[in-house]
Amino acid sequence: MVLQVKGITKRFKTQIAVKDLSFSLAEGEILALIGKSGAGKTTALRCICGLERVDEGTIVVDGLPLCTEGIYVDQKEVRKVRQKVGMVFQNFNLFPHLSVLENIMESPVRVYGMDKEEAKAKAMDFLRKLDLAEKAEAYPHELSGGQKQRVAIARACVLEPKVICFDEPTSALDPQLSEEIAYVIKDLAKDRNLSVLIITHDMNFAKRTADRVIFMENGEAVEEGRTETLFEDISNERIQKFMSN
Amino acid sequence: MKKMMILVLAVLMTMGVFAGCAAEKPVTEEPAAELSGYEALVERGYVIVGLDDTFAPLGFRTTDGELVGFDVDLAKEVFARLDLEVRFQPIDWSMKETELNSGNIDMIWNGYTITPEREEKVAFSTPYLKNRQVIVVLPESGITTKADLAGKNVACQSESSAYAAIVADEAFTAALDGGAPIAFDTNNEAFMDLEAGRVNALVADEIMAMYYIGEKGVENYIVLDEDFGKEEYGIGFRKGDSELVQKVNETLDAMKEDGAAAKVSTVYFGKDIVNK
Amino acid sequence: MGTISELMGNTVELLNYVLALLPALMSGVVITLKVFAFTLVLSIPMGILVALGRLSRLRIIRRLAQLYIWVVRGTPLLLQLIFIFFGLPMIGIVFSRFNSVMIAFSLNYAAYYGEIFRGGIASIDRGQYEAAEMLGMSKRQTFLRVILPQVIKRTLPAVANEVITLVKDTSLVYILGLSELLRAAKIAANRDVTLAPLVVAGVFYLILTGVFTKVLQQMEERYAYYE
Repeated sequence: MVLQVKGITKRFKTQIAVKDLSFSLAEGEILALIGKSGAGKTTALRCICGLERVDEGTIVVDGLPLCTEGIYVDQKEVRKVRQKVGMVFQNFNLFPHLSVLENIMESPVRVYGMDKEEAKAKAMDFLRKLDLAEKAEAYPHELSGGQKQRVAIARACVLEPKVICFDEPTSALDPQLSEEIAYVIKDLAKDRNLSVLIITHDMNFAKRTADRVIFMENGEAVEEGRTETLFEDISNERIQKFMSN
Repeated sequence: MKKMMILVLAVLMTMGVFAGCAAEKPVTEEPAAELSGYEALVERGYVIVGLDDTFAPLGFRTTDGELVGFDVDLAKEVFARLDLEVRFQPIDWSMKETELNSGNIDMIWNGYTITPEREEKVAFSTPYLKNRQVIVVLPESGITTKADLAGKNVACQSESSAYAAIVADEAFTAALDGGAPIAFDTNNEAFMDLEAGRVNALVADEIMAMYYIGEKGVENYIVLDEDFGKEEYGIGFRKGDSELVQKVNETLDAMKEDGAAAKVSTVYFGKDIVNK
Repeated sequence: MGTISELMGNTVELLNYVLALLPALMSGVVITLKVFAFTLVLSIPMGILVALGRLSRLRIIRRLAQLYIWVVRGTPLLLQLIFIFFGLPMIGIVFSRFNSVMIAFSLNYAAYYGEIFRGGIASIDRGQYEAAEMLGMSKRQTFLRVILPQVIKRTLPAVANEVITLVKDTSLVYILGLSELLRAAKIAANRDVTLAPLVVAGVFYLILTGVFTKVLQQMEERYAYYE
């Protein structure tokens, strides 16, 4: 298992955002956490990325623990774990003052000391695959939403993570583009054997992309199953209700 | 509550430091004072004369930036005779006593009128130049006496002996428009205000007023017969520097005797007006 | 008939006079520029530190930065100059005239820049920090490589404003007897009993602020490549 999450709970003051959530993610698997806004799925994702700290529970990425029973490893170890997790933010959070290429090269060169030419070749490789080679010198504000997203994907992938997380990948895209991004994500999983964790409220997108789905409500996982079986389960009232919304 | 405490404490501390500045008047307690014995000055090899280099004709700069003037030339001669190098430090006139007491300068030598208030703060040399606080008006004003100035505006330089002299005449001051003279940074500004007609008269050191009038044309001004009293210029030292005061006094006396002082006076005033 | 030649004569006389003034005024300009340059070079990095102090996670540092800004912005620069040059020697701390000026000016301007930078830093989206964190960047790298460049762009107009104010504030050093441009002009004005030197000084100030305005405009243009 590339990612193991066991019984994580996250409280904000008095409110419980995530309650006793457990799941695991296999190599090359695509898992979607779905639910309405406020269901706690984004918080769960942020905890797995290390942007938030859980109060209870265990998170292990590729054999390296991030936290065990709510107790975190030291800062150095956290960085090592985080290196294995890539993140594509909902609004992408590209660096506006850097060009597309610079956005992608910043971390490999500055943080991981990769040779500049090597980083550039690698970045260009990703950009070509994502059909963005001609935008290498452009600045984020010159790109469309879909293009920005692909830059964000390249920026995360160039660090060769084991897991890549998407926070609401379709929220900024029109329907046609979400079809495209579904293919991109599937390709990543298949070609690079990347595990993918997707947060979304878009049922159709989850259905089209994910191998497995977890439904969340009020911070808890309420349903879990293979995509092809779960969505077809007409008898499940909760899912039918959610689907019709 | 805690925040308020911190705030109040901060204000008190700040005020404390400032109060320290004001309270620490006794000159003998100055750190610089122990340096200022005459031997210490000789040891150091130079003295620092503080002056406002905007005070023509006593201390000012030529277009080349050279420091000249009656007081400057006099000081140069005095310390040449005392075999001490003299350095001139430009200061802001409103800061002169502070500069002296904090030891940044060793004396104030720049048309420094001897007044009782100043005598409490500094040690004066024997007076070397007589001065009057004259009243200057425009010819067309029709003003001929002090009494004519009741209800009118009178200008002078701030922090000057002219200001002190006007305010000392309580009845006169009370009769003025606004009950106080209008104080400007320099005499030049007071003169310009007079010319602009916003003030009806100005009071200034005769020495400086005559320089100004000489430059602008004698026919354009009237100096009233009445004045705000005669006074004298002296050199201001820190109290406790008595040996320095004595040396300067002796040297000035010698310069009056042998005509050196008269020579300097002739350069700047066209005649010898130095105190005999 | 004589009026034209008289006018010519007067003009030539005035020109000669202004020319004679230039050396003294130029030496004033040198002091003005010295104060200006030193203050700028010192106060901008200090301002960044003040801004970081204001945004510190430690309450005590935040409070100290706040107190500093309150004291420095809440009192006139002139008073600060007097306090540092004349006041501090009372407790045994003695600075030279020029050093006092440098200290007072950079402390003063650091407070203003600090507030400008604080606003700039606070205006940067949290997502920028999180993106940098996910990319493994250290706090230092995040600040220097991601946040600061964006803050500079955003605060440039406000910083430019302070720069121009600084040019004019340099005239306050007269209180310590330093003959900067305005005082040099006053010396000439009192000696020659005319306003002309002050007018010339005004022209000098306009030239200085004009040059700096242009430079800052070009900087803004250089940063205009994004957004």
